[in-house]
Amino acid sequence: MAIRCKACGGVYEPIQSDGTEYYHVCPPITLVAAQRDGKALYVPLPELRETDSVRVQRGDSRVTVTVAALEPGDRRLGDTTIERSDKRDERPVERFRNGQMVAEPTAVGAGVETVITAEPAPADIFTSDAPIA
Amino acid sequence: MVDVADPLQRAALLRQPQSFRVAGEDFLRIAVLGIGTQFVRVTGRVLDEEGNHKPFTFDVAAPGSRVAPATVIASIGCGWIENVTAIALSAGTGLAQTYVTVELVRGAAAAGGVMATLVAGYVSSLVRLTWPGSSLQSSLAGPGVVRVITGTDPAAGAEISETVPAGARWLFRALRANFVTDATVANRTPVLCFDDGANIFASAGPNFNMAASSNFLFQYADVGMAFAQASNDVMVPAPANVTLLGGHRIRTITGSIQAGDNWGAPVYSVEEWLEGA
Repeated sequence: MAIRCKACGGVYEPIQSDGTEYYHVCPPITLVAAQRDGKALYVPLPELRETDSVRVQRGDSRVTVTVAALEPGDRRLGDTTIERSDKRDERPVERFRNGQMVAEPTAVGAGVETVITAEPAPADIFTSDAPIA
Repeated sequence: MVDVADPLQRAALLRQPQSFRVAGEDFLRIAVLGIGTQFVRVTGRVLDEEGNHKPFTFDVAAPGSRVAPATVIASIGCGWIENVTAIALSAGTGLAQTYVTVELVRGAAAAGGVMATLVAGYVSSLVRLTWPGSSLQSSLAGPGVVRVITGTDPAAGAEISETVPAGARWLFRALRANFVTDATVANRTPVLCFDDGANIFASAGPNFNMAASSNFLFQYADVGMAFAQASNDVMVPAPANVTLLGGHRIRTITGSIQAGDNWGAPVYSVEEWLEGA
């Protein structure tokens, strides 16, 4: 069983193989420096359009091209990152609740859902030409 | 002159030279910090005022926390403490996962004044602390516990980002993760970065660019030199001895990452100590 974070879509096992808890924290979002309709914007990567213009390193020069006109070997310039507004941070913090100190996640973000992962293949099944006794 | 008919004076003759006199208002305070689900057992003996060696045993559940210790205030009666031993009850727990402090305090309140610290250090099912005998150890002394952690498998277009839990101190060892690029043409540069939650203080990237529609297994470790890319299984030299505190991050910053690019779940190894709150 694994958990999917509804904020970032990341999937993780909440209990590690050594029995310790794993605390998921959402990664930042990549923002692309782009021009859209003549305006300079920072566009979240999933929302980047083919018609947006980006600055790239092409060989020894820097050029501005549309996303659709990128060439093999281009390296996009000006990316940055920003934290998600609904970021989940499961690292526990101590808080007073009803007069008692309790450990709670730093931020629940957009919540999580359970993911059923495939069962591992049985390790003791094999084929053999030898007759079964 | 000792009056051997007086039980108290007779007991005083029997006591060991290093023992502490305890009265009814003195208690043992046992504090356990650790991420295992184990119990810590504290045992010992008190020489009571009748001259009897009375054993005591207290089991304390580890709190599963690196910052908030589980604390027990235990009464041991009157007399002289002769010895104290602390050990983890669960088998298979590594050292540097459970830190124990046993103190002699005046008063049963949690904030009772400390009269003496008897033992302080890590315990496991093999390694115990004893008083007298063990020296007081910092939680940052000695080797840490080696952990192998499977991190979050990011969604497509997202970067790897692993955050050090509060109260932990990590020494980064190695990270291995698969990266698949989509068909969008552009050169990707997958760089592994270490930051304090905001400011990058170390980074390491491969000595080649990754093209569209390719699949590479990146391994970042302290190998000291960059290898020529001979296959899709790539070793990248990472900075040595990167120490990370709670809130610091191990993450990737992939130049020209595309919305369809996909990092797999990172598997990484760190050496961990309990830093405390």
